[in-house]
Amino acid sequence: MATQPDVKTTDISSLEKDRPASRRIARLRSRYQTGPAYISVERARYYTQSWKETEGMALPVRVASAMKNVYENMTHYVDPDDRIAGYWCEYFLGIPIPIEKGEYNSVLEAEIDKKQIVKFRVKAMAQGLHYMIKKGALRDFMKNQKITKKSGTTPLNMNLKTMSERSINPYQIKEKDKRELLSDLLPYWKGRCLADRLQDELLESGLYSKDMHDFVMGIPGNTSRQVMMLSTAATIATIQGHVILDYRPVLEKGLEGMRDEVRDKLENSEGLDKDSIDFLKALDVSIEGVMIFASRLADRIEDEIKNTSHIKDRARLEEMLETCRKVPFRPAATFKEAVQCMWTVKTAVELAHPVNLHCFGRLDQDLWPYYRDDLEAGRINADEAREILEELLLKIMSQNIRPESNILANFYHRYLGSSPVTLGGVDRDGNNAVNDLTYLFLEAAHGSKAITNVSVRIHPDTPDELMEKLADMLYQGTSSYSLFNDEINIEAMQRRGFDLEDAREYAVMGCVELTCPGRTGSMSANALLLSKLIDITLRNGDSRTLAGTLKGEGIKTGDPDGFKTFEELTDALVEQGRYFIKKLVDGSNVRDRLYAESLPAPLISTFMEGCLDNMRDVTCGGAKYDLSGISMINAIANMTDSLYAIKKLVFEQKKFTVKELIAAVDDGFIGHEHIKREIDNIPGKWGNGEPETDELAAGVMKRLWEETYKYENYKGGPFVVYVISMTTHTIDGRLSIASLDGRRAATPYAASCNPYNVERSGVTAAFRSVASLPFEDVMGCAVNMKFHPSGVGENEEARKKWTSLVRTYFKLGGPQVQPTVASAEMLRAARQNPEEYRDLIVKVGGYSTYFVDLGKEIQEEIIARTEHR
Amino acid sequence: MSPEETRGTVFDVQGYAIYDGPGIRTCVYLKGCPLQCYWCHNPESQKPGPEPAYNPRFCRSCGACVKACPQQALKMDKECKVVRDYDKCLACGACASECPNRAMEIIGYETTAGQLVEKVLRDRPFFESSGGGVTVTGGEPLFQKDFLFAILDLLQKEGIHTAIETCGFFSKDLVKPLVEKTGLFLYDIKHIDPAKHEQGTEVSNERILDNFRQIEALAGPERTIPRIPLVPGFNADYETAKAIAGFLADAGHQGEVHIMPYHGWARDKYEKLGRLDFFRDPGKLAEETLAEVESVFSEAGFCPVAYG
Repeated sequence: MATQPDVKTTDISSLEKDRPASRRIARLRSRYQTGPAYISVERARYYTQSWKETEGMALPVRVASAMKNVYENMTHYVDPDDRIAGYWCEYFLGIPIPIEKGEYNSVLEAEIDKKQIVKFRVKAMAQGLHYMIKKGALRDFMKNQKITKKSGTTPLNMNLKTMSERSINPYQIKEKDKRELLSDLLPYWKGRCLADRLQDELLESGLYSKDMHDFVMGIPGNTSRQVMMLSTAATIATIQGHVILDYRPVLEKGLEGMRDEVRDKLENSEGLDKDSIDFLKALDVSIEGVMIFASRLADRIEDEIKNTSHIKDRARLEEMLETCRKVPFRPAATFKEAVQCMWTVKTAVELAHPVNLHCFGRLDQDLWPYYRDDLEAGRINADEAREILEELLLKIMSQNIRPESNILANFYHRYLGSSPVTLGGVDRDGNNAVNDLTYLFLEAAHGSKAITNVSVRIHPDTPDELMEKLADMLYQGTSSYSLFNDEINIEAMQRRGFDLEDAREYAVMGCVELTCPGRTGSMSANALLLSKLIDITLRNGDSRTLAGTLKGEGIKTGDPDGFKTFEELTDALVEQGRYFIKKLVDGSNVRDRLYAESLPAPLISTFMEGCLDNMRDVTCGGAKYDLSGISMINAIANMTDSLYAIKKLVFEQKKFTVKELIAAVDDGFIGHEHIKREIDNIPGKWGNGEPETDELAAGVMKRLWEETYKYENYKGGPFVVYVISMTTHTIDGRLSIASLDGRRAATPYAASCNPYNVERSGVTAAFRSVASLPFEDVMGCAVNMKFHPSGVGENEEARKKWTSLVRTYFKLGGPQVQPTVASAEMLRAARQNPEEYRDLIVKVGGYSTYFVDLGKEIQEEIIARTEHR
Repeated sequence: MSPEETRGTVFDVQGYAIYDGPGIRTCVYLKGCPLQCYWCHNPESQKPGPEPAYNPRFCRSCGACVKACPQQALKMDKECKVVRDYDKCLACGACASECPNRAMEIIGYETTAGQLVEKVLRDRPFFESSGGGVTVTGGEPLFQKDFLFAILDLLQKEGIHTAIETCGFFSKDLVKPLVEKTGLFLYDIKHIDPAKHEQGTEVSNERILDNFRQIEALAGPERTIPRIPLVPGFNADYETAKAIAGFLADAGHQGEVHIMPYHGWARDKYEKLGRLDFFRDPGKLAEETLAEVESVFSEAGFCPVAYG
């Protein structure tokens, strides 16, 4: 049972920068951040090789056998800086291709080869032109190009550079691998991969129209198929990702123990139907596959030892070998064994589903018994353990890269998203679960500077000491953590069907999504784009893009100038919302059915509670729980402020008609400056703690959220709501027209649940606005707040105040906060984009100012100060 | 007139103020000040009424403000920046409404104590959890004394802890009612020498020092915190610090003394207000000087706390 730590936590600023361990970690980080990244073809090759030879095999076994072939043939990699062993490809940093899912196949087809890229650009341009001419949208497109330029947006980089030549997020690929992909593997999977089949099914079902398809194909530079755009307002993910595996059985029984269980069931399988037997066989093959992966990894380490004469190195490798010969085959007994066991399993399963975005769950809880026992036996000390965690956080980070298209690479950095580790919170009985490892993880996050997000669950019983440590970390410049509100999140989990104890065990996956780790099937994500939703409502069902109008995207809810009251408008908006939510549900269920019927996940099912007992694959609903998500984004802030502007200017002040406002939006406000000014001058927009907009936002969102909960997904779990935009608020915003909250064309929306039109009301007002949304009905939300270090403070008193700030925000119902401390770099960015940093205040007693209002010289001075804290 | 209806001019309301008294506080900045300290970091607070401010960095020289001004007080200069004739300007706000780039602004707006307090009370949960409250500052809060007392009244009725940041230059008749209504005094002591004080602030210091003694006596050292803005060339030296420490000891003060090192970030504000010629940069405060001043107060038995 977790206890209050009596190991005094280290003052982070005193962690020596010059320890040899620190140098190793710094080296690793530097190589991950700036070293080359590769596209690895081995997984695709061996998967395909097996697949070609197993026609007729029962599907789950066929999939497991394909991965077994990969595990049997892949090249393992061992690095001189490793203490934890295991990579998912032959490179230090590389991405194996999930070729049978195919969401990146078209990116690879188009963008790894110069000739191909030219060919595809020409084709896409032709498609784009054809579409626009057919729709009579060419003039609109040219006009919007002009408007975009006037917005000051830099044009999107759509050059002819290949993935290896491009400057943002490049990937190298060996020449022969490139040829193999282009002439062999990609052609084989064309029409066979899930992404292609999903597209076909959606077209057939009518959920995805030919018109929409033409529109999407015409979007310049768009080769990615991570997402299927059912409509301008509704997208579904191609992947069925986001899952936290159940590591308990492998830690406690080892793979040998797990295999015995499965074989036991197979031996006593009379009376079982064919599907169940096939499923058990697939589990058997999967376990065997992971065992092969693990033993070949150990073999590889042994090879390294033979080639090493350096004493220290041999010792290091020999220790790793001993651990890797034991775990994950047999139960883990020490902290190092537990970490290695989990890492080996995660890597093997991640390799089966690259870019599915697996995370570890509550590592401070999972690893605590091993650490506690090691401490008592004198087998380990805090420094050693911390160093292992630093390496682990970096390794987790390294498996979160995507071979994205050039155009999306504009918006991504190398390590996108967070693949979080969850800490703290309460245990199944509701008692504080913070332990020594919780603190150690925070220090490891600080020391490794890995982008891996550390999600800290905060409960009223969470010690102040932890909160103040977080404040100190923030002050020191570590911004890779988020804080989650246990009270409201546990309530939210229960409302969506999780038992109380399972709700208390929640962990964070993906970016911010809640789940019960080890018991919940892969969350499939979909998105409802709110600015499009209101735009479609205002055009009686039509949708306006930068390339003309798509007629009949939504339903006819009436001419908005015909509405007698503002309530009629919000009712119409909710009607449109209902229509699109249903569309998303149907599309998402088509995708899920396709996975269940043609691409089961035996590797995940092997490590998922419920699947063995139910004898059902996770894609068929075998896990104890399941859910699908609808993320309502881009953005609550912009949509609310647009509604508010209409309420004031059209219904109350009767200054304009909706038609006139729309005409202004269509022109990007150019030539309609008076309208933009009127909109800009409306005080009290959302995020400033003003009751009227707070109520407006909460009212509309509550109705949309309630609509979502009417639906069940294909696997028998609920549809749930998220508010997480990742970087789509930038991408989507860049490709969208202006909006009635005053946002200019081709500029980003508010991120996730952040306010947009911040009016200098400060963080307490922003928190109050966010907290007034009904988050007991949301299963994950991101709220970014920027603080200047002076706002977090260099002394105990200031840290206590910051702790109070966050605890109060949580008490008011705020779900989450991702605090960022304004670094010198951020302050410089604020100078370029003052609109995005209007709320940044440098705190001094009795002084009233906002950073963006200051002149250049003084900003420079503050930046210099910030840098030299 | 009821406290709720009492009108006054405010120029900012800032939540999550963490250096203006205990706990998390909301600072209310009142407009107007009887002093004119040459180092003032809120120069927009000195004049009592709403006044225009122009930020040339945001200006795109569109000329909309020039056209909109009913007094023809604005024109574009050779560098395409706007110049204002302050004799003609009535601070009507037409320029601010017309500007599409937020380069024009009216600083200071009228409101009632009721509206102000209602707004401020929204942050009550943050006050309660941190032992915080509301700090009235400015400018000089006592400059609009009716407005201040109305605000303090309403907050007192709601059980909210109040603090004021004051320069101490007000009628001695106000001391007793003020002590009854205010939780904490953050009281500026700038200089003991009356002539030097007047040189720096335009007023002498006798009344200020008298009021301090009264407040210290009535409210006690726990509720009275002297604040010393440390300005190079004016009072940032050993002798002045000793004199102030001596005065404080004599007045019966014990405990905390706040030292506010000059920070020089207000230059832009003077420019925005068209008062750049009033700005005198006292220069950077040396770290050794700050350390020296702090040790004067420690040695005198006080607890100096340096902010910023």
